[in-house]
Amino acid sequence: MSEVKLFFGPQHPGMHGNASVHLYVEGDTVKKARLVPGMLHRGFEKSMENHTWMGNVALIPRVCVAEPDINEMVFAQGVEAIAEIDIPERAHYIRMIIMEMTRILAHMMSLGAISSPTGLYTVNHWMQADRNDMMDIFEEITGHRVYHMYIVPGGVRRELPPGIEKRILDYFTEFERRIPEYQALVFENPTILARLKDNILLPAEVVWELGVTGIGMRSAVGKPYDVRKVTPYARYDQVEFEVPVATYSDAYTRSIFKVIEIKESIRIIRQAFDMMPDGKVNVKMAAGNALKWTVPKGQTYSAVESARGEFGYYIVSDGKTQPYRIAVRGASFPQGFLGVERYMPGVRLDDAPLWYDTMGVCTPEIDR
Amino acid sequence: MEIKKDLFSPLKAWKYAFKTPVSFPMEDIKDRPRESQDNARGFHINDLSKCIGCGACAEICPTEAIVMVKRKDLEEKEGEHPERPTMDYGRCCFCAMCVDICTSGSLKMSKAYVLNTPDPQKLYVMPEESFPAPGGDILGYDKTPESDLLDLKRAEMPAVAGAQAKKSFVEILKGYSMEQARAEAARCIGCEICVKTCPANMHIPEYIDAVWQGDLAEGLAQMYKTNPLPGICGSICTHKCETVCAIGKRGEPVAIRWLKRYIVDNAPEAMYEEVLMAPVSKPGQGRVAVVGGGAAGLSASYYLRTMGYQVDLYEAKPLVGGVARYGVPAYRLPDERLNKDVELLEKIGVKFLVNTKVGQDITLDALHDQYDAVFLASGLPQSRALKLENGDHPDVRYAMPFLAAARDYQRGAGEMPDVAEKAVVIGGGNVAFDVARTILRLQQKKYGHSHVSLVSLETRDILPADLEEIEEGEAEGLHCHCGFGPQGIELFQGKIRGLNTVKCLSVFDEQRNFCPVFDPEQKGMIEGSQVYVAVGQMNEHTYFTPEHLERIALKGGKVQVDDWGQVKGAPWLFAGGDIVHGPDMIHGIADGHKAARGIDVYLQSRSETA
Amino acid sequence: MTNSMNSVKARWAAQMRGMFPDARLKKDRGTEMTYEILPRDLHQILAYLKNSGWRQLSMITGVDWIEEGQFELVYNLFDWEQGLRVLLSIRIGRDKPQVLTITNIYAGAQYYEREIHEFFGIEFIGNEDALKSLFLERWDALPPLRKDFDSRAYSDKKYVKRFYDPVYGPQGGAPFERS
Repeated sequence: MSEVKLFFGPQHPGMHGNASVHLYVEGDTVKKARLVPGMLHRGFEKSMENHTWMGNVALIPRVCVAEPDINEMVFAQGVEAIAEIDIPERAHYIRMIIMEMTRILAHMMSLGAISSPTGLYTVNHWMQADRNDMMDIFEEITGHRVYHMYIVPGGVRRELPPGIEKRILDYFTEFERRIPEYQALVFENPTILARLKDNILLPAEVVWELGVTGIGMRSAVGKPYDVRKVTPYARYDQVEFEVPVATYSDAYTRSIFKVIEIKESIRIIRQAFDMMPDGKVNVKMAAGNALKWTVPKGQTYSAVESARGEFGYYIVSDGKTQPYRIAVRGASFPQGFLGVERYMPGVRLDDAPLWYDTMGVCTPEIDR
Repeated sequence: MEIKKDLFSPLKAWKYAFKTPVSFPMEDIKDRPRESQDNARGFHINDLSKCIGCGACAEICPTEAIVMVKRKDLEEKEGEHPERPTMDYGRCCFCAMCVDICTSGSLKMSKAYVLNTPDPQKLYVMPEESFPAPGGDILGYDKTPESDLLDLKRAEMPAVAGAQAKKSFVEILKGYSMEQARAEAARCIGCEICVKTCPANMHIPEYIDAVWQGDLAEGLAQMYKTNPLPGICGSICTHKCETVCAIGKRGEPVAIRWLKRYIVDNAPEAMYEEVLMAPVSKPGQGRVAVVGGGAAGLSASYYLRTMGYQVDLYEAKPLVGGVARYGVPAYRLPDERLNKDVELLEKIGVKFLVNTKVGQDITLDALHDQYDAVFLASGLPQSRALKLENGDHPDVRYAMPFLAAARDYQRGAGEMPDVAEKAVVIGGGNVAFDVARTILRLQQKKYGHSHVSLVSLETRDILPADLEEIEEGEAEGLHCHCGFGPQGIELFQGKIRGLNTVKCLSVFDEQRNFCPVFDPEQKGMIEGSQVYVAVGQMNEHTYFTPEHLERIALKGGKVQVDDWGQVKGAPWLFAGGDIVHGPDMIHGIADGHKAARGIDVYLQSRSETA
Repeated sequence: MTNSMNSVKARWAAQMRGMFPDARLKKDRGTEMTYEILPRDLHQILAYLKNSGWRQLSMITGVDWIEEGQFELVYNLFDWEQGLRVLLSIRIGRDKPQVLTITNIYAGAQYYEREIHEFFGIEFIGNEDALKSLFLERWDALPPLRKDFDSRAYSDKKYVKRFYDPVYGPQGGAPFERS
């Protein structure tokens, strides 16, 4: 049989974002694969040097489309570390709540993305409906459904609206009743199990070779290597939560971990609401108005745990009103490039999108 | 983790087939879309009558989506620009930073989010009270105190406390440190609304930016372009700029005057010489005489000299400076700062002829013969008289001579003016407070305690004096009797016992004319052995001969001039300052600059026709 | 920072000082330590760190210090077990910048080096894959993250701008003047 060159993406229902994966297929099996990125390259790292510190807050959520708040969080954390600002307690808890809600949204999107490769489109529609209610909650807190621009250096931009705690907690009570339905539909479904179980394995040596982080790492290595546990930020050391681990990583394990993490996130949000003190929600990061804010000289790397792994910004400031250099570390950079090149070959053609999704590759944060 | 495999479990999903769908129907999605939540960031709405056109929204927009467009149907008013923001919705990312930085609070966002049109022009909109889309009349996002991107509080100016202050003539305001000055300068948004209001049109945003950058040389250069006396202005200017400052709409205005003073206090002598003594390109030819060494006269001398003219300044008193030297007390404007301004003029070659009174030691006609042009800026050195019963008693003193004597005493050039243990001051303006607080200090020095009562027609809320003066005066122990009119001096055995007063019901009539109305039934007497009158200043036009007065027009003592300051009827004579505009120092400085240019034009045109 | 972590850090910092005297600790932010090292020590230090627990290469970044005429490369290593991060910073000259590849120690560096080559123009000796372009197709100007590349000037040169007249709301049009 001869080799056929196929293009998986950039327009493909199973592709996250727009990137092209060139597959050399022989029969049904992928023989060679290569990611050709660049279609979502928007030049963020250069643009960030041309905006003021506050202006960047409007720019950076667009770096990772699926999960925009992680960008704002690492940016704010990095600036606060360089400028040595302490933010009020209440702001830490509000940030934690926002980050966990974003994690739930991202995991649900990823669960819904199993739908196209496997043909179970119902999951996609359910996921959209559930996400919609949560995005309405975000609209009431921050003003926007997707790109919140709410976490800023110094705290959060405005106080939570009255009555939001009840709305969120009521919503989660409702949502927790639906998680068993998701599980019944997807994870007890023999057809899906046949696709996911014992498929797309990720051994521990590969994890260390590539530098994969997040669910992939935890499901292969068997240790709770989560940025929230290892170097906690924003009061994660004050709340109790579990991080699922395993030593045998196949597509099923990685997908079921997402459901477990959603449940843990709801637990964190409930604890955060209980522990949140009253007080101010932000401090100004410098004197004067926002056009004239400067950050002292320094460099730092700040990271958070996104739905796909360790996401970080390396921020360099030279004391002016605009950053000198900001470099983005996309959480799926290792899997997207080296993973596709070395470990996609051998996979069946119809599992290629499933590989892409369960390994957690998200193109916007690779391309920036 | 154990895995359940159940052939029928997916069938449970069928129950949703019989429930109402949660998605919105497609049919009227454009006309009646779902309503946004509260706080939603939709299309903008702007209250055009509240908007002042400052342009802060355009400055901060990260995507450069806002353009300020000049509207011809709005007139040029003080305190605003006739421009309004226009949003390019192809670029807008709905981050609401424009709403958070809005100085007047007029820009907000509505709940509209659907705008569907084939014409790209319709996406470039000047927002008004409501937006033409569904939900555009409902308020969505508005700013809150914690989301405000402006800094509404001034940096605290360290000052000497009231009870301590009256023990000496030391300057009350201590001045900003570098950090405070930078923090204060960082509050300015560069809208340039203050520039229009300043009588001298100073380059205010430029020198504030220079303070923020730490570049004092640039700050000096920018100030001197329109005002050669920043030391005086930094201490006693009436700061009309601060009254229209955009930040002052919802917070405290930027401390423009104190930042000016910061530059003057911290720029070293060497920097003055380096920045300000650059040669001028086309020197004029001619000699100009300036009469009066006050703010207007000094300002004119500076600009004339930099244009190349030879300038001789005639001053009746021993030192130049006018009211800044002999009127304002030292705790508001110390000699050192004034000297910094004056010394530069001497360095660039202006000749000061002090102790020479024009009209007495030299006539105006003599100046007309010896010089090519004359700038008259003699100011208002006398006090206005007040008709009072027994008002000619020797212990009835007048403000201007008293203040001059007190300043001379304070700098060691004269005797201490004799102040009684209890004194009464009549007047409600800044000069009255200057007199009263000077007496407090002199009394403290002579007797160890002080007692001054101030009597004014105006009630406290409409006192013409600055609020800072009133508050500082009260902190120093001044007794203010506001709303009373002086009736007459009460004598006892040949000495003054006090001032008889009568209640004043109103000061101005409906046409804002000065027309006080008294209630003769409500009388009182305020004790004091001396009465000081501070109800206004008078000119001293002793140099005008009857021939002059036939040709020159005087209206209420004010010399009538055209826009350049040229006196109507005598083209060689220019006038400016208090004798033209009434007492206001920054107007005087602006007049000096204008007259210098006017003289330049006049002399150039004469030499061309000659 | 727990006491045990402090003692681990202190012990490890002492070892670094002993073995690599040219490595200078530039900044210690608790769980993040920045070292300035010489390019010739890079491979030794990386190998030592990898064996001491810093098994993950988070990223490699470049910074263009145009006024000093140097590029800075920052190697970002993370130890998941201890929760400590090490940033190693080296400086190389700006004309003809060259550095040895580290793909023999950390395989994941292959694509990071390719990205830095594309955006800064730094050559990684030993990594031929890095010479190929990655994100930018048919790029015709300087490597874009260099400070002498002006993105606005490039955009003005390449793309056409359009201008619009503003439209007003329901109150109707009013005469305006475009500045």
